[in-house]
Amino acid sequence: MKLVIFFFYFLFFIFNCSSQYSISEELKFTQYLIDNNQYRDAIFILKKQNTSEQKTEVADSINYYLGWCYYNFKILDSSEIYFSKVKTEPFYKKSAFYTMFNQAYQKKSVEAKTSLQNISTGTDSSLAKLKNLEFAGISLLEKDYQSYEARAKNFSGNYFPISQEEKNFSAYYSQLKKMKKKSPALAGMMSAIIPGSGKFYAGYKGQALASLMMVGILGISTAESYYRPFERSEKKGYKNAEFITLGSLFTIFYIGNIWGSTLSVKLAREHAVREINDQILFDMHIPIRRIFN
Amino acid sequence: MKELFYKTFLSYYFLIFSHSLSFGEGCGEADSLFLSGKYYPAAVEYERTAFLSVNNSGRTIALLKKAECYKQMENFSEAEKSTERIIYTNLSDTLLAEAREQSALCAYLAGDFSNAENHLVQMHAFVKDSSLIKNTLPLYALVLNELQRWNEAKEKIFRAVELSELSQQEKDALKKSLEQLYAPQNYPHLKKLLKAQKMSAFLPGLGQLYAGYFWEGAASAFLNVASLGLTGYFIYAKLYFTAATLGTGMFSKFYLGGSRRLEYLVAKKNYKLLRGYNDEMKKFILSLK
Repeated sequence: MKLVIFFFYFLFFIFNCSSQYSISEELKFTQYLIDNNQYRDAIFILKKQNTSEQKTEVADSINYYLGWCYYNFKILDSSEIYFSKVKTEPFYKKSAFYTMFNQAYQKKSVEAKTSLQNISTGTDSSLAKLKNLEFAGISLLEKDYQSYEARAKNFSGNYFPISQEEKNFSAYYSQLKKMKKKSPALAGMMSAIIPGSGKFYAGYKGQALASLMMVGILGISTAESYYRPFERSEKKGYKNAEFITLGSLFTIFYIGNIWGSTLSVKLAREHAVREINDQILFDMHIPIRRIFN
Repeated sequence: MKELFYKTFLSYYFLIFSHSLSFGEGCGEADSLFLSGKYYPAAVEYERTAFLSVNNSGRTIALLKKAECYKQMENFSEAEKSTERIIYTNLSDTLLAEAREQSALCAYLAGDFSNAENHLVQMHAFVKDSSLIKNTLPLYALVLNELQRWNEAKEKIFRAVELSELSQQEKDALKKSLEQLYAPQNYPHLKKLLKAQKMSAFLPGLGQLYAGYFWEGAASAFLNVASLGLTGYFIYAKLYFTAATLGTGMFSKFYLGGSRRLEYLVAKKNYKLLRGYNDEMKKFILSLK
């Protein structure tokens, strides 16, 4: 009887092993799919696995791979969800940093900071430096210069995977600090005096020239039609059809140019900040790839 | 007790055995998925087969089947991507021909005609067995039609007819029909952009008319005449500055704009002409297969 029970236990053990082997095979296949950029297929395979029935390490591997596939698909919200589920090594730290990066990219600065705070670097000084760099990046994205300055003090400049990004962050910080707060009202006033000058002040030099030419031509044409009324017309300058038509056109373009100039200040600032933010995110991303891949 | 023991043993044995099968024989599962119309899961299983294949032939067959799944889903660009991953080394002539033909077909269906031709050229160069390449001749003709190389296409389709198992009488009848279809006067007379632009430069709207867009031409002519008339009126009214800037500015916008618009119109017209002719040819060639 004992022998029979032992035999069943033995069979159960073998079956269990084979089941573990199957999931490991599935993960190998998933790795192959990812290596061949077949992310959609990898997601299809991974979604078939029930993580609640797996061991923690296996479930973590599945979640990590799913996070990675969605990340490569640029579906960052899904990527964040799966990366954040990873709790054990070998994928924990990489997933944690990618969770933070996905949040930062989605403008979820508070969550990104919390995620970063929760990453335990232990005695690994290289990860501590990376963590510090990422904090500095989030501070720059938030325009929290005080916090950035505190983080920048810890920049060593001698750790190769992040040294260039540290320099870049310092440059972005200087750029952001130098960025003047331009006045939309002043831009509007400038364009009222010299058409297009408000746009020039905002930083749109080409548009400024185009505005000046268009409004200038219409203005001169309006003046011409006023001072040179049609000979056969008995109407005074301001009463003839040419003056009314050209004057109306001039007024529309003139007012439009003033309005456009006031708006262009805000747009130019947003555009410049967005460009710097994109560079910050890029420089937050590169060291993570460099260290973990 | 013994009965219970044997039942349990057999059930365990079956479980373990069937479990190991699911990894050793992915193709069987993929085939059954394919046959039941579940093309995407089948494509993934074929990919697994490619992954587990111990040699390049197995991998090639799996990739071809995966491409077939995508073709069934009408996702031809993905089908082409699958066939592009085939490695053409250590393959038998038959499999090499099959792989090249499928790659060419997928590229053709994806609208990548140059790539389709590339596969067919390589196939015809490396596969020496004419019985393997004769089936690709109609596809070759279709590809060459799309590349507007009708003389070469005619050559291929004639060769396909020659190699077919039809009676001589049927072959002659087919050749006669093909001669008519491929007569140079039947080729689509594609519009020349430079000619259209020159015509529009000479008389605004004429280029659009030549491209086959009467109302576009009329509108262009009207706008050009109107802006020119306005310039003339400004001169007449002695508003010289206005004439020199606003009048000529408007005229040049319409004049040059019409010319730029021709680039799109000529391309659109040529596409329609090509489609009309090539679709007719396609119908005929497919009826031969």
